[in-house]
Amino acid sequence: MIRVAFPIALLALLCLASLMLGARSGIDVADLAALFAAPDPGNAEAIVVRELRLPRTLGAVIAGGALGMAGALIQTLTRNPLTDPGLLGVNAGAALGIVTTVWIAGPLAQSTLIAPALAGAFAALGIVWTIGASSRSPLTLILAGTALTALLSAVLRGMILSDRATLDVYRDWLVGVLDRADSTTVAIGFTLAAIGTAFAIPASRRLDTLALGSDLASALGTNLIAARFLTLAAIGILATAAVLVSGPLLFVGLVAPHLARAQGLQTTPALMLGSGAIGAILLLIADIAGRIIAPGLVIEAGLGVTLIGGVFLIWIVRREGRNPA
Amino acid sequence: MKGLEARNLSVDLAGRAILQNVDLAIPEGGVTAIIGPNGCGKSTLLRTFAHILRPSAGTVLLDGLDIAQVPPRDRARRIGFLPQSPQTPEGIRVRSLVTRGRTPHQGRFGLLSRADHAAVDRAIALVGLQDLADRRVDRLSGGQRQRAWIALTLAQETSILLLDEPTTYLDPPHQVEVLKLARQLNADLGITVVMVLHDITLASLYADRVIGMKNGHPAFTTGPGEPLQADQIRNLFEMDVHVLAHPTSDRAVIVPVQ
Repeated sequence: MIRVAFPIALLALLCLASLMLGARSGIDVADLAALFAAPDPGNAEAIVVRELRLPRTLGAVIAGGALGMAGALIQTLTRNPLTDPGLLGVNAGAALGIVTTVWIAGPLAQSTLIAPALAGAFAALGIVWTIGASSRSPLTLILAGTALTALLSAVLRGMILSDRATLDVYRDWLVGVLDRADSTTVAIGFTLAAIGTAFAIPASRRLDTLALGSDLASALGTNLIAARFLTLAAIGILATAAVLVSGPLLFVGLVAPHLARAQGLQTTPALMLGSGAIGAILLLIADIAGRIIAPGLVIEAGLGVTLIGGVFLIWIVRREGRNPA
Repeated sequence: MKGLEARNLSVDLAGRAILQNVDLAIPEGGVTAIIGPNGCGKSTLLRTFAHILRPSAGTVLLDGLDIAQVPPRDRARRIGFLPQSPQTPEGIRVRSLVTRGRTPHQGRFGLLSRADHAAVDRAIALVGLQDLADRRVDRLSGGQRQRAWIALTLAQETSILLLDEPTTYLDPPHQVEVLKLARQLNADLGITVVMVLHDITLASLYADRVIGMKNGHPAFTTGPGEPLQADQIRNLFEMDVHVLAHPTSDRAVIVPVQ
């Protein structure tokens, strides 16, 4: 019970902290309760909380959770603890969608970039699936994703180097867009994450047998093609939800499953849910820390999460190496 | 017929014919060993019996029904299969590994019933790993690890168990331990065991029936109580052998001619 209750309580506390803390002076719990109980549209604090901090907090939970779950799925599928959901080409696809649109149409509002980001991410996913689906080895998918990412990045570099406005939009997006998340983006991100989770739960159960090798999985009655399709659809949709809300965060999906595994989670569904919770916690901590440590100078969550996650990963690697239990 | 049967079975791998028009019956009960030189198709035959490979012609019958028509879940409750080198998930412990053998018995949400827990406990006890149930599988010795994998297939509670070279990578005492376990499962639980073995003498000592495979065909089948003959082995492996009597049993011991 404690193992379930503790992360949920921590997550709730961090959400509260994320709503209360910021460059603008702190808001205490009583104020916060009053803001939600009796909304006063004219109150400046109410506007800050509702328009800025609430979408940002929800965005961190959605993106961190989605990346954590997708990371656990892709690492189990490929039996490779170094894989990250971004390796399927989703991030590069979304980036190219945005950059192409800005390159052609000039700078646009954040919300008009949702559609091209989605189109790019799903197009990349479709291409990777088409190349890799015929192979029995999950490694083919990773290789296809890596090749596509390199190809799209080359095209992308050509565009951003030839146009100053495109470069500015791309740079802003690259370091994380969490602090500019609006309610539309968050709503779409939430919907995608929910759909992704609906695929991820049955996929994670099938991965329990798939992780034993395809022969044994078949012998245990698992339909291999259906299992792989479910898993890839889940990873792709979750990664797309994350990239939409927070920009391309590279480290959460890699480190969260390691932290979850260190908790001794044994089955893939448990590992995936634990990894999702840890991903959300990591991203929230990074986002809050960025606001507190350097008020005025905004440190993007993408940088913070890499710093915090990196320290955690080194700590785990050292501990695992020292006492092999 | 209850059990497994190959009818006019042909299997191609990567465009090459591995098995050609094989007719072979494995009736219920007993321990069967399949032996033969490398590349003779013995593993392919076992994997086709497990319905992991699809035949290019002919059929595999399970209790007289075409195995391709049996729903995967039902098949997985009837036939257990242990591949030669299964993958160990990172950091997994014995109990969790064995529990995955319950997959074909679990309901939609994958929650474990009391029957599931009981079957897992029984399987772990059958292979004698009670004291190591909470150990990490990758920290076990080779023999213990192989017993953990066999426990997974036992938790599946099937009446037929197919083992693909279960003694490979094991030292002689652990090879004997695994083969004794196979005999014990057959004697105590009535499980039909079919295994691919490399060692001719171990096959002779621990199997009721020995099938010799050569060039994608069964060259001979010995029945219970029929010891292996020197010319059977000579033809199968194209190697000169002596067949000796085992000092304490009626089984044959096969040694190469020097």
